Amino acid sequence: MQCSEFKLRISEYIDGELSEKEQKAVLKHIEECESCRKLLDTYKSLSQNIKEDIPQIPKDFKVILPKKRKNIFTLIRGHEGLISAVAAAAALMIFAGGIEKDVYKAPVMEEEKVLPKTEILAMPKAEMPMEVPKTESREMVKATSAPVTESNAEIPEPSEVSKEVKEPQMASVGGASARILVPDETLAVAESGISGFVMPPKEEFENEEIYESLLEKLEILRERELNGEDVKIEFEQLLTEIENSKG
Amino acid sequence: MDELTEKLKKGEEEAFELLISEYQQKIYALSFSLLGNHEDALDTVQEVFIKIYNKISSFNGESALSTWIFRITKNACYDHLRKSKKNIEGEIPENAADASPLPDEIFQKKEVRRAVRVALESLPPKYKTVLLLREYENLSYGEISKVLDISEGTVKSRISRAREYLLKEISKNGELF
Repeated sequence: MQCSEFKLRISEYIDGELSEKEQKAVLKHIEECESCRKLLDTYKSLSQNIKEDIPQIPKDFKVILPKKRKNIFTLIRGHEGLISAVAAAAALMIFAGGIEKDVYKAPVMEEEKVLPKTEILAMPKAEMPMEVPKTESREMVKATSAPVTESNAEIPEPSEVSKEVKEPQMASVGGASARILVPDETLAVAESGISGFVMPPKEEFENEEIYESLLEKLEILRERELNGEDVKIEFEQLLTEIENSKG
Repeated sequence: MDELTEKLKKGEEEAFELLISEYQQKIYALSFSLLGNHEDALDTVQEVFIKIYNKISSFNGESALSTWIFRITKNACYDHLRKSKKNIEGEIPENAADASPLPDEIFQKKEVRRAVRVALESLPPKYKTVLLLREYENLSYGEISKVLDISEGTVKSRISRAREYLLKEISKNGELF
């Protein structure tokens, strides 16, 4: 086997996709060629690195499924100002799980409000939230109106809503907490936590060096938060620095 | 058709509980990596299970349940990307240079882990999807081809190019070595 052929086969080899005969040929080649052996190790290390860095869902996240009742589908979407007793009540299946803070990194929600237990209802289209201009903040969450047709069980399209609603909210049904997407969280990004923050693209900064430096600081704060440190104030300061460093 | 699928089609609550506990992490991981943010990833987890719940009655079991779920996940993510006007069909720039070997120990460095993440973020979606299905889920090339409805040859090519691209991106930052 030549080096050129070996390089074509590296991925298949580490993914176990080669025949026995082809594997033997690869093994024989790397015994003889140190450069290719090192390249193989590099590919393996990269693969391992990716496998060890898989994003983790927060343990307190709950999936909520709709349940048919009197031909009405409902979803818990919206905020307390918009959810109202319009249609017949529908029960929701809540699948409970553990409630723990976890790593990859649920935004920290403060002042979570609990919706009344049975008030998870269908929303008529007339109550579509108002549209607002888009912002760059990825912390804005969306509210949707619930579709009220039997045949159309599609997930409603998200829409952007008034900036007036500021607080994140949780629904509590049957004692388990569930995540509700509320419209237009205009919480300061810092309150949402570092985990949900996405660094603006490199092009928005004055130069690459500044971008890299700020990114490094962000990573350090993330690590410290993971270790249980309260880094909110420093994160706020970093956010200010990021804003001031944009070109 | 496996037992879980049969129970899901009957609407058994416990079956859905099991499904969620088995798949929510997988769906989240793929979605977070494809979409780049936590909120959209959680939205996608919710959306995917709603779709599964609503469409399970029409799932005919010709493909594996996992194949179907990953396909729904990929489609949901691509819908999000289209709405954000991201280019799903973006290509990796052609580059004559091959990936070079890197010292083993550098992959232990925190900075390199971050560099891998950054490089992965910049990988175009159609390459990232095949790579993540391989690295996160250990799917075979055959299984990936079924999820994405592409040939095995295309899977092989995209994984290979994706890894080469990542290594080149990591190598660009000379300070790491």
